[in-house]
Amino acid sequence: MAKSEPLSISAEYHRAGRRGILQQRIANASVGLALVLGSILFMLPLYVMVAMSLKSKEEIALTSPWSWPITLTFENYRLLFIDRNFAFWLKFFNTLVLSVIPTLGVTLTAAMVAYPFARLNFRGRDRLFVILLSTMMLPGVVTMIPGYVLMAKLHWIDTFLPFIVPAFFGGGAFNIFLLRQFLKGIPREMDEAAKLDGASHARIFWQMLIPNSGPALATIAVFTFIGSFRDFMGPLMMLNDPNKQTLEVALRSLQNARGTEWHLLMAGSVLVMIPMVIIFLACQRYFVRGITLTGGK
Amino acid sequence: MRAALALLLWCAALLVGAQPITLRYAVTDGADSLGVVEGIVKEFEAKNPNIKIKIEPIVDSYAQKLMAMYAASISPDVARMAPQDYQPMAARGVLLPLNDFLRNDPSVKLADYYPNIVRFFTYEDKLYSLPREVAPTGLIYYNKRLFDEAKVPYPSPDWSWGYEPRPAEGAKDFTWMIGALSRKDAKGRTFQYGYSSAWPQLMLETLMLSRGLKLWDSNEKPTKMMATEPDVIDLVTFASDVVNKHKWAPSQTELTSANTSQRDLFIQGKLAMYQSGPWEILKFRREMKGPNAEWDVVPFPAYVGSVNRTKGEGSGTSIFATTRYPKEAWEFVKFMSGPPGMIAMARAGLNQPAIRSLATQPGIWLPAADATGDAAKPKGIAVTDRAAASMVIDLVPEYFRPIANLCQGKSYDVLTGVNPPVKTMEDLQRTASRDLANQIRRQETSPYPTNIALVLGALITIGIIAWVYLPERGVKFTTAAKKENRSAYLFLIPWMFGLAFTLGPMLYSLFLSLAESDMIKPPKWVGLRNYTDAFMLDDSVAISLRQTFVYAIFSIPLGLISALALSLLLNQKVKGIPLYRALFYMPSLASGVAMSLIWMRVFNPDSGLLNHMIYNTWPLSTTGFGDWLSYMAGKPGEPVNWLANVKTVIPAFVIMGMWGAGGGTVIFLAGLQGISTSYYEAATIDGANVWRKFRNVTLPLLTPTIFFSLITGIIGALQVFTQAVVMTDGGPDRATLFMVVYLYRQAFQSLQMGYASALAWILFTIILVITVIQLQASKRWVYYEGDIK
Repeated sequence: MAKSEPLSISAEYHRAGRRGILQQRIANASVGLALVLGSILFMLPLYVMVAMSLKSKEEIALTSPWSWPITLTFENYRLLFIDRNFAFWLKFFNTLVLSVIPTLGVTLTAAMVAYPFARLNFRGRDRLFVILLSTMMLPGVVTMIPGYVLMAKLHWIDTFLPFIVPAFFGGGAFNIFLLRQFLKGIPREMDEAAKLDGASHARIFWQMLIPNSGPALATIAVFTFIGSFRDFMGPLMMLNDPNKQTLEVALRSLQNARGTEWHLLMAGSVLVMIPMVIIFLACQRYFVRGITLTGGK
Repeated sequence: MRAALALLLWCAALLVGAQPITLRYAVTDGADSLGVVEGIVKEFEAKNPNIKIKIEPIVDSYAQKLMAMYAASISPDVARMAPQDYQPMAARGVLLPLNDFLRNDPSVKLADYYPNIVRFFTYEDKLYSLPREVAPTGLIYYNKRLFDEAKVPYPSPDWSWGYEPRPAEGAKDFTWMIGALSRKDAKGRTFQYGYSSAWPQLMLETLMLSRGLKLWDSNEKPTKMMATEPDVIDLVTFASDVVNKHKWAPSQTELTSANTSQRDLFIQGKLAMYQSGPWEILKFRREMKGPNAEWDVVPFPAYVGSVNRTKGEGSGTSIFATTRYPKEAWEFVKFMSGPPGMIAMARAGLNQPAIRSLATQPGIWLPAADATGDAAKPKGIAVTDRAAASMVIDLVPEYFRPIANLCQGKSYDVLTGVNPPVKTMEDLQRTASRDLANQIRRQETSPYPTNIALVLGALITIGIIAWVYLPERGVKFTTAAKKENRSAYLFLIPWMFGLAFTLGPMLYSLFLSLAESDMIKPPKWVGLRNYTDAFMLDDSVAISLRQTFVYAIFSIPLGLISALALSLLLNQKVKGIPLYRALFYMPSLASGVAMSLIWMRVFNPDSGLLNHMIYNTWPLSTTGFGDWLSYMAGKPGEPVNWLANVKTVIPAFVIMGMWGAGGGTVIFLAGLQGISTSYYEAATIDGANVWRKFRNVTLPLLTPTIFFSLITGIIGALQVFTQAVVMTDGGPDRATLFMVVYLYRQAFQSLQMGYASALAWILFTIILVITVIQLQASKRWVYYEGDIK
């Protein structure tokens, strides 16, 4: 039997035999066209960003933002790398620490908290779940100062702890909710069997469910990494020492009362984006590893 | 033995004494001036080896962070302070008055400083900040080439302005000059402007001040609004006409959507006269080149037959009342806001010194006698002294600040031409009078019953626990079920700990919503007044709720459908699909600030990409779609000004939101991977086509993911915030004053944290109700494979 591709138009027509060759080509071409046109549309704002980052300050002032630089220059990037206050590498390192550790914490503990919500029966589960969701519903503006005071009472201001410790406490409602939805979608047969064999809930969680939630875990890992990497308000409030600051905050200092340094801001934005794109590409492998539990592969 | 011990103690004492103390110094300086500040600090440390200074730059939300630090009792020792920032802090005892230091320290003579900047920093007869710089904003920079080309004489220092142009006066009439220096193309579009202020309100405020008018009755104790007085209406109409009717000055919305600024126009030689402060000089020396190299500065004109009165700003150095080292802090303040700091900042071209003799001595702020070329410009720089001496600042009492902010906002509306000036002023008169009455009434409060609050807090906590636990208490559990119950709670332990970090601040804000609070002074009990005010008195609440819902109703389904469609497309097994996925996700990764700035260019009515595609590019240009759009937007025949039009700004936000679909797509992609391939195989054997497979396999098995995206989408859309702050600042005419934008303003611009908390809890309740309804409804349409059947 032909290997089934989930909802692949091309594979569909492939099976339809010779008659379908033309249709298959048309289907392939239209998918390709949609992908190419769509990505051009989506990349337009980024094209402007990259183009401006490669223009000199004078050229930005004189030319349309949509034009490709007349004289390509990497001067803006060079200026950022040597700027003592921008301190790219130091801030890159800080940002990396502040992204990697929370990502580990969130991925680990969010799955742990999501598991009982998804698959166990316990007193008050549905009402606790409402409480979980309700923590997303109050605008952060009004909890910011009480939260700040709490961090100060713990002597965590100007340290990385406000970003690291909470990540190990379940990692937030968004991630728990996402994982709960995925865990609820995994068929029961295998863990019911394991339960009959006397396996503990911890073992079922670790040996049956975790290995089968690759795509969901990869998703929350990528989201957490990117969210932390781009966080602005958090580091701005919690950190005082410029040597502990992150890239996103350093980027903002390129905008000031004397006007926006467009050329530097755009170059900086491109620099900040590169690590996130790399992480995303690296994690893709895990997005496409589906359920192996009951699959027919 | 005893001698040895004494010696040891003495040594220890010496060591402790020699230990340098560290002062934390908060500044707003960023890339361009931080280096100079660091230089001054180094010099200070060299002269005072026992004091170390730790500079803490705060690049954004300065007042807000200082407030949070104070609330958490970890304020810096010393901070740079601007007049509009210091006053609320001085009023709340956050800052140390400097009068005692001044009395005991003859080395600082306040008489040396510009008297008006000293007055700005004096609150209830006490000085709270030692001024470092003066920044009179009544300076007009002009480009000589544009004057020569238009055959207009250069402005005379004793010029004036009136409502009508007086060509006969020549170099002495400002109004005539603005018109004579503006140039329009054949279509009537201005390509060279006569005049602009650095930000829109500055123009109106300067005109008001020089005309001797105010929007309220008195600065000391405002009780009445005067926004509809005939004189005020005349002046506001004049200012609006300069921008919107004659188009002699650029409008802010035009500039923002073209991503340019008044300053850029001036540097590029497209603006003849530019009103701003002395901080521009450094940049102009560097950037006014080639044909625009000849420029100079004059003071803002007086109103015909009246004296010169203009606005101004400045900054100083303040000491926090919480510092442990007031003496050392004073040493540093004296240095930073004394000759060493001022000279360094002035020589770098950054600040005009607050000590008058330094500001008028060549080689410091004024160019040295032997300076040549750009360093010697502008020739008329000495007028900065006169402008600083004649500057006026409106200090209003604490309770009036929200209304002053409202007036600022309305001035902006007048100058951007959102509504006719008379209508805007009538609107201001009505709203501000009501707010003013409220503010005066709000002065009456009673102390917060802390004990009752604590008891109430405990009761709420117990109530929540009971609500979670009690309903199922009676259910009988088997042994296995008991074990499951126990394991479940073990798994939940980390989350329960974490709840303290979220529920604690949430409860606190709930209590604050029953109070009048600025987070600095102890909260005052007002009962449910914040809630009743929100519903009965404040029409902005209803407007912001409505606009939030309008945005949500369009953006949620569109976001959901586009993310789902994209994920199906990106789930195809085609060559290079990982790269395509990255390309579609990348706009969601880019820095928010940079993206907002780029989007403003996309939406520019004249040169933006969107209008270019609609009006000038085949095939859309031939369909008449553009004309229809212009008609729908209420401006037939004009290209749609997306971000400045009340009718199009929310659609623009929704369009922009589509570029963030990448995030939702990633979630759907993960959901698609979770669908077992065996279902598709079975469907294939049954002969199902692509549509049937999608309808009967993919869609049902994707419902958990759709449900997730729906709930988080609702929560996110109802809390929409960032774009509205960065791109439109709540405007035009409150069209993007979304709920969170409005409560943010209440919290941090008007310092009404209690009211902001009440608004936040109103929004919370709405979201909670919607979510609970969704959770109930989900039992009918969401299919979980893992559910026990």
